[in-house]
Parts: sequence; C-alpha cells; structure tokens
Amino acid sequence: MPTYLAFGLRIAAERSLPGLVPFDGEGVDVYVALAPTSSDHGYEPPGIPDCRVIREDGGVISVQYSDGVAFTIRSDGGAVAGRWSPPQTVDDAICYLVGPILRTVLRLRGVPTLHGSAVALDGNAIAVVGPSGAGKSTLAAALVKAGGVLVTDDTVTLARSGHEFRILPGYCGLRLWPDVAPTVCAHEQLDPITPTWNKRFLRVTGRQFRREASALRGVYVLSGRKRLETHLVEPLDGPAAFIALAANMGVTYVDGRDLRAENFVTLADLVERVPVRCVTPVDDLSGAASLAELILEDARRLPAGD
Amino acid sequence: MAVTLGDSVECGEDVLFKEINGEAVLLHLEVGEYFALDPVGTRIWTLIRERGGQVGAVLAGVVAEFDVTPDEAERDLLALLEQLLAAKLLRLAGPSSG
Repeated sequence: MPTYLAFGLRIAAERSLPGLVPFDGEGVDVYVALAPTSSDHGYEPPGIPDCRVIREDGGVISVQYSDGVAFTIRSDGGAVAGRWSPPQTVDDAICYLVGPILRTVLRLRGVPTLHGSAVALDGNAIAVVGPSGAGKSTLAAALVKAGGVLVTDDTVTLARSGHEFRILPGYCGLRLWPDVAPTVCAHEQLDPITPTWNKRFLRVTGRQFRREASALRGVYVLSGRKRLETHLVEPLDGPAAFIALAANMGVTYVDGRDLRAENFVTLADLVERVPVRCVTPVDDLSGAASLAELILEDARRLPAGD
Repeated sequence: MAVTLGDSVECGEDVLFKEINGEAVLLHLEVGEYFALDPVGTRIWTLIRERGGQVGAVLAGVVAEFDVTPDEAERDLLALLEQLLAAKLLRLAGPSSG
C-alpha cells in the first residue's frame, strides 16, 4: 500500500495520491480507502459543489458533496473512506481528499489550518490566504518563480512549537486555472487534475519544494477587492487581522465549543506574534509576477523566525 | 424590550473576549460568530465588567472618559448595548439594584 507524508501525517492509501510526497518510513497515522459506487445521486448543480456534513453515531463524520463524492472520517482522524459515482472519477475524490478532507483530519487531530498556500524564503515561510478564486495558488506559483520555495498549496497548518507557528510541508504542487497559468509557467508543465475540473496541476519538485517544517514569518491575506493601477500591500492589525484569518480557517464545520475556543486562542496568539498583511492586487493576476516581487520585498523586512 | 439606564447587563457565559491593541474580538462559542469592537466599544465592555453591568454607571464612565455630551453618549451606549444583546453577547441581568 503506498504511503505518503503530508502535513506531518503518514498516510497509507489504497491508491496513488498525486501531489503528495511518497514516504518509505515506518508507521501510519491515517488509512485511506477509495472506491467507486454505482449509486446515481441524480443531481449535479453548476459551480462549486455544495457540501453537507453529518456527525453520525460514534462520532464518525460524513462529508457529502452534491456532485456525488462522499467521505466518512473516523472521529480520531485515523481513517478515511471515500467513494464517488459517475460522472465523477477517482481523481475528483482525490482532489477533495488532499484538500478539505485532510484539513478535516488535521483538525480532528488537533492541528488547525488556514485555507491557503505557503512559500519559504530563507528557511521561513509566508502564507497566502484568501477567498476561493482570489488567486492564492497563482500568487504562490509566482512567488516560487521569483525564488521562493513551495511548502504547500491549499492547506496551511498552524502547528505549534513552543511559541512559534510552524507550517508543515504538504501538497507538492499548485492547482492553477489555465487562463492565468501562462503568467507563471509553461503550458507543457501543466497536467490535468480531473476530467470534471478545469484547473491544472503544476508539479513542484527538487529545490523548489521544501520538505522541512518552516517557521511562519508572515500571513498575506488576499482581499476580494481589486485595484485599477497598482498593487497594495498594507499592514492588517488587531481585530481586522483576527477576523480576516478566522474567515480563512479550514473546515470549521467540525468545530464544536471546545474547538472554537481553541481556534480563538490560536488566532489571538497568531495575530500577536505574526505580522499580517492585506493584499489588494490590480484587477487580474496577470500581474502576479509584479505582485510577487512586492510581497517578497515586504516579507524580507519581516522579523525572521527562529 | 429596549435596554434602559436602569437596567443591568452581564456578559454571556458562552462569550470569549480578547483585547488586541486597544480594540477587541468577541466570539460566541455556541453560535460560532466573531464580532469586533472599536476602542470605545472595547472600553464600554470593560466598564460593564468593572461596574457590575449597571448601565447608568457605565454611561457615567463613558461621559467621564470621553469627549462626548451626555445625550450623545447615552444614545450611542444604548444602541451598542442593543446590538450586543441581539447578538447574545450580553444578556439582561434585570433592573439595577443601585
């Protein structure tokens, strides 16, 4: 059974999981089973699939997407079973698995996450977060092209080491929309991800991918607004920073009182210890390269982590 | 029922509060919603805790500490308290004993 290491988790899966780093060490933290189902869910809305989350008997979490892909997750995050039905494919199931489902597993195992990407500079990492479609992965690709080292796409862990926040290496690639991908890479570098989703996969390997944990040096929040002429990167402090990060926390649907209280403490600590910036780019991310340079220039002035 | 100067309020038990750089964030643990208070709102929250939640006493504190007329302070304070009560961040504790 292939095993992978992502976000500090040793993941054993019955199928190959593209985008995760193979692991040949001992021990398993999460078992993943994936299988097709013949049931016809009969409904597929356009756009981003809706998601229904149910806590079943014994604490098992059931996550059902309206495109027919579904998962059950053991309450301790130690096992995941996924299924799909046509026209979805195993690739669609894997796409959910390495994104929101692994974020759910991490949360159940006590590791909060942000929905975003992370790039390392001189051994420390900056996180890029923001709403869906804001351009997080495109910006991360531009940061890598400008000399950064990818730590992860889609999921940023907020693991703790004493007072320090550490980002654990995860997804070793970037998922890019084909219309903006040419601004950050060559067309032939892109692979399809699923037959039902237009995004393309840019694999990041070798020295461009960081396999060690990185101290979090700064968080850049992509705002939903756009500017006409110049990119803007400005400090975000206090409650505005807190709430911006809260809005980008991963999989809060599993949070009851205790996890919400934990998140509150984590975010308060994060805002006090890590600089947060609000990023308002020009109207489209064809200017990703110039935005990446602006962010790198700002990030290099931030205090370095330990 | 609208809150009056003769009432007392108290912080909800399911509410977490964190002051950051003179402003504050609140979280209602059951509802899962976050709220932000500006510096004046943050000071009002603190006055509520310092003065036993007595609205009249909180108003006196606001008037003493800020450059505001009593009428404007009363109007703004009661409006804020109504918002916090509606969000279940505060609850009415009954008429003030003092």
